[in-house]
This record gives sequence, C-alpha cells and structure tokens, in this order.
Amino acid sequence: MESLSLLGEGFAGAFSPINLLWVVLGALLGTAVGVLPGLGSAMAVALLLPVTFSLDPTGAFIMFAGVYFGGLFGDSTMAILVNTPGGSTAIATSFEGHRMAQSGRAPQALATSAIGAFIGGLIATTLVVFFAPVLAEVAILFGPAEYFALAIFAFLASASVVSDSVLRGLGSLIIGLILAVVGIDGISGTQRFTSQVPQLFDGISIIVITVGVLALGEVFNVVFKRREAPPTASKAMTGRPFLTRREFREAFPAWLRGAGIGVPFGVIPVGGAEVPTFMAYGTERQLDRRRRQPAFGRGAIRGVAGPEAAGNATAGTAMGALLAMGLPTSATAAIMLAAFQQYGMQPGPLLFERNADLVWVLLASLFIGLVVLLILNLPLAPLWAKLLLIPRRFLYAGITVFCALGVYATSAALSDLLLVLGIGVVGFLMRRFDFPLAPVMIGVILGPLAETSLRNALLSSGGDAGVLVASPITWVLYGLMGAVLLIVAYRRVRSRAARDV
Amino acid sequence: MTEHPAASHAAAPPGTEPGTSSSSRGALVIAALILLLAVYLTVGLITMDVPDSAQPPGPRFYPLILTVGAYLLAALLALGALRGGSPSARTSAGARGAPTGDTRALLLAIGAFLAFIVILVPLGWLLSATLLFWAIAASIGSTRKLFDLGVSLVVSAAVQVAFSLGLGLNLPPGILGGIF
Repeated sequence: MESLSLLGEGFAGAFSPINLLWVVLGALLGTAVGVLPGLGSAMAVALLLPVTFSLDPTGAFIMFAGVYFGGLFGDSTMAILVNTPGGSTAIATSFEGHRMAQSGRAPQALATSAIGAFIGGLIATTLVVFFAPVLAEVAILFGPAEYFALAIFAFLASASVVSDSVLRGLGSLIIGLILAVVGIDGISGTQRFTSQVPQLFDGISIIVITVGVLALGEVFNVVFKRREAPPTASKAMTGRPFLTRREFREAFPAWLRGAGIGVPFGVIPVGGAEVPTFMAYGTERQLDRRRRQPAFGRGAIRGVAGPEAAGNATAGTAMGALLAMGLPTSATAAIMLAAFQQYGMQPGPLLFERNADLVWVLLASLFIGLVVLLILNLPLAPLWAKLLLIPRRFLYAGITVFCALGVYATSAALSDLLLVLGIGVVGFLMRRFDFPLAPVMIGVILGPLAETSLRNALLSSGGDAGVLVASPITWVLYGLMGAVLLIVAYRRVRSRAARDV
Repeated sequence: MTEHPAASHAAAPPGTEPGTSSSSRGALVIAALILLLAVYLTVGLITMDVPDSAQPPGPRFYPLILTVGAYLLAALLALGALRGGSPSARTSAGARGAPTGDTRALLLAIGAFLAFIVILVPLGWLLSATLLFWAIAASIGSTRKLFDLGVSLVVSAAVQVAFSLGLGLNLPPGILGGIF
C-alpha cells in the first residue's frame, strides 16, 4: 500500500489552487485543440508545449495531464456531432455516435462518450498507480535485445494494423525511421546525414515532425480540397446530456469491456489508441449481433461506449509505460518524453527514485484532470461544438499560425520552420495518396531506441546476432508479435466479410 | 436496410471510389519520395566521416539497413502502382473523396508559409503572422479580404500579447520593436 500513501502525497501537492488552475486550463486547452477536426491529443500537447516553458516542471506536467486527456475527450465530440473525428482514435466512435446524433440523441451520445472516456481513464490510471512501480522493476530486466524486440514489434504492428496495405504502412514507417536517423550519432559521435548544416546536428525535433505531419499536412490538405462550407452542425445540439438509468445500464458493460481492451495496448506499442478503439468497436458489434434486437447501424449506445473507454484506457496505461519504462507508445507519449527531457528528466525505472515527488503529483493530476474533464464535458460538450461555427478559413489559418508559433517558440530557429514546412508538404502528400500517418510517428519515436538497442546488443555480444533472440523475454515478445499479427489478420478478414450490419 | 453503407464512413461521399487511379499514381509519388531519401542516405553513408574509435557495429550499420529497406520499398511501391490496381481499397475514414483539388491554392499556402519564414525576423512577429493568417485564410477561400485582414491583425496581436508579454516567449519584434 506504499503506492497509496505516495499518491496521497501527490494529491496533497496537486491540490494547491495554482496547480488546480493549471489542470483546468490544460483540460480546457486540450479539449479545444482536440475538438478541432484533424487535430488530436498529440497536437494538443505539441502546440501547448511552448506555453508550459514559463512554468516550473511541476506546474508544466500538471497542465500536461489536463491536456493529455483533454485532447481525447475533445476529438470524440466532433466525431459524434458532425462526423469529423478530431483524431484517428475517434473514428470508431464516429460510426455509431454520429448515427445517434442524427436520430436526435446527440446529448446521450456525448454523455456516453464522456463517461466512457472517464471510466477508461480512471481504470487505467488506477492500474498505473499500483503497477507502475512493478513495471519499473520489470523494466530493469529489459536489456538492449528486449528493447529491440519491443521496437520491432511496434514497427510491424503499426505498419500492418493501421493501414490496409502493409506495403504502404512500411513505406510510411521508413520515412519516419529515416527522419529520425539525421543528426549526431549518440554512440560514436559521428555526424550523420546532416549535410554539414549545424542546425541538423541535434537531429530533427519530434515537435517539428509532429506539427509538420499532423497539423500543417492537414492544413495543406484542407486548402487543397477547399472545403470552405462548414459541415452543417447537427440540429440536435441542444438539450442537456443525460442518460436514463436504462441507458446507463446498457452502456456500463461496454465501458468496462472497452477499458479492458484498451488497458494492455497502452503498454504494447502499436501506434496509439487506434487499434484498441477499433477492436472495442468490433467486439461490441459482434456481441450486438447475438442479441435479439441488434442496435448497431441505428445508433447503438454501446458502439460509442466501448471505443471511448478503450481509447482513454490506452492513454492512461501509455502514461504508465512512459513513466516506468521510458517507452513512448504513442505520438502523444513521445512528445511528453521530449518534455521530460527538456526539464532534464529521463523517464524510466530511475524516475520513480529520482523524481518521485513529481511523478506522484503527475499521477494525482491525471485523476484530477479526468474529473475536471468529466465536469467540463458533460454540460459543455454542445458548447465545444460551437467552435465549428468559426469559419473554416479562420480555423485553419489559426492552426497554421499556432504551428509556426509552436515550432519557433521551442527552438527560435528559422531552420526548424523550413523543416516543418517541408515535412508538412510530405504529410500532405501522404494524406492525399492514402498513406497512413501513424507509422511515420512510430518510426520517428522508436527509431532511435531500435538503433541504440540493436547496436548495444551486438556490441556486447561481439557481433553475434543470436543475442537478439537469446532471452525468454524476447521469445515472449516475438511470440506475442506473431499472435497479434495473426489476430489482426483474422479480424480484418472477418470484418471485411461482414462489413455492414 | 435503406442505408447506404458509405454513410458510416467519415469522409467518403458516395460515388467516389477509393483506390482509384489517383491513389495508385499517388503511390508512385511517395515511392519517388522514398527513393529520394534512399539516395540522400546513400550519399550520406559514403561521405560519412567515421572516427577510428567507433566500435562495430558502427554508425553506418543501422542507416545501411534503412537504405536497403528504402530502395526495396520504393521499388515495390512503384511496381505495385505501375501494375495499376492498388490492393488497398481503402474504405475506412482515411479514404479521400475528391480526386482533384486546387493546386493553385495549395501553392499559395506553401508560398505564404515560406514568405513568413523569410520576413519573420526582419519584419517581426506581428506583421508576418498577420500575413500568414491572412494568406492561409485567402487560400482556403475568402470573399471578404479586408475583413480577414482585420481578423488576422487581431489574432496575431493577441498571440504576441499572450505569449510574448504574458508568458515571456521570445518572439521577434522586428521593425515594430520600438512600439512595444
């Protein structure tokens, strides 16, 4: 029960008025960015990173806790109301959620999604509190070969799961891996692929890549398609979001199942919450088919509840994996990692010893953030949708200005602005030609981990590649990888065979 | 069921088929991009200045794997595209609707960002961000250019006040530096 007393101290630290203000502010800003079409929680964190520079580390991470979950709460709002998912994690929600909105049950859909996100996040964060220290101990058992296996797992999973064509997924992945290899090699100190440009010696910042691929690429895509006409907001935006007891009972098992599906994916790096949300959606639909009166296709409340809980559960345990193992399993987590490093901290097993006070305040803030978000989102969700009343041209012009601000404020380098422009064009091309974006991010995030662990493993074994598959942990990881790929292939074939209800 | 199956997917207006010729031609564009990266890596690998102290596997080892992989993927993607039928009939929400777009508007937006980079330091944040905001809005499509200019100025100024004065971020003041 040591965790509980430590968490108690964390709460004590987080409950100062100024810290509460940061959580609320973070939750508001995170939701606001998440609501915008095309921008998810990764962008929320990336764009708000410069804002936190003027805060002390504790205040900054408390704010991040709000932003982190806020982005996830926000993106499903748009998915439900106007069928434009804020991020890829909200796509699964949009299917049934938007149907609910069309049939005049938007408030209920929003409430289901907000409560689902709350429950998923709550379960996952609780698990993190109790198991993160254990996870940190397990992480000590992980050597280079094991981390390499994890990275390979992530590469293959994200490339094959997220896109329909494995080849396109791998193409996206290699772009990310190559972007990450630029800069001075950490092991030998060799300059690599910098073309002697000093600005590239430190490599291409994760923030530049995230903003370029996810935000600027989206802006260019909107410009290219010139969809000035705003999507007609659903008429059913009025009314208080509430659930009847019957609806609550209906959604409850789906929330729990979704959370159950989402939790493991926070630790398994497959590129964020996209996979578990779709798995939760698929599971609910399978179960729905067996009922006497299938509700899917007509706005099933469970089709909203499952994916939402799964998405936030993944985000919750992803935070645990980041803190305890130093392993970023999503783009959002990777930017958080960058933020930690900016403050001179290295997430991983040692973080719980060196910066224990900060870690527990952060965990406590995650809980507070969830509560704040639930309070904000239940009554305010329809209000967020009003953001869409801003003319599209101003919305995207504003995003562009914030991209420029975010990138310039982190580095004060014009070269980073040039890079973000170039990467934004690449991001546009990939959107335009249906290449998945998640593998790019996974490649950028885990590429350096893959390289260092591979080289360290080979270095210690004297060049014997057998070391990569020598330990039982690596067997488990590669075995798991095979199993996941098989399951994904199986599910995909099945879902293709039975596309519509 | 009267419902059209495409209705469940985010941005797929009925009537447009995903995975059409534009998509397979597109694979060619990305394949070319990957090829370009592979060539850049190759040049970098050849010209790399590896210190003698570097132990094997040295700094060339991992990029070499990537380079080979990149050539391979570029070739496979190009092959798939040239054979026509791309296997990826994307029907998920990622499917893009209209096969054509407004290239002029796109170039205008890219040019605006480039111009922003050029004038940011000499002219300062206020003016360059105003221009950026205005130009992006115009490229998306605007009928009220003057009104937009006002909005741009307000947004740019608000950012300057909030982030520079409020949070202490260092934004270039430029030629208007004396005023603030």
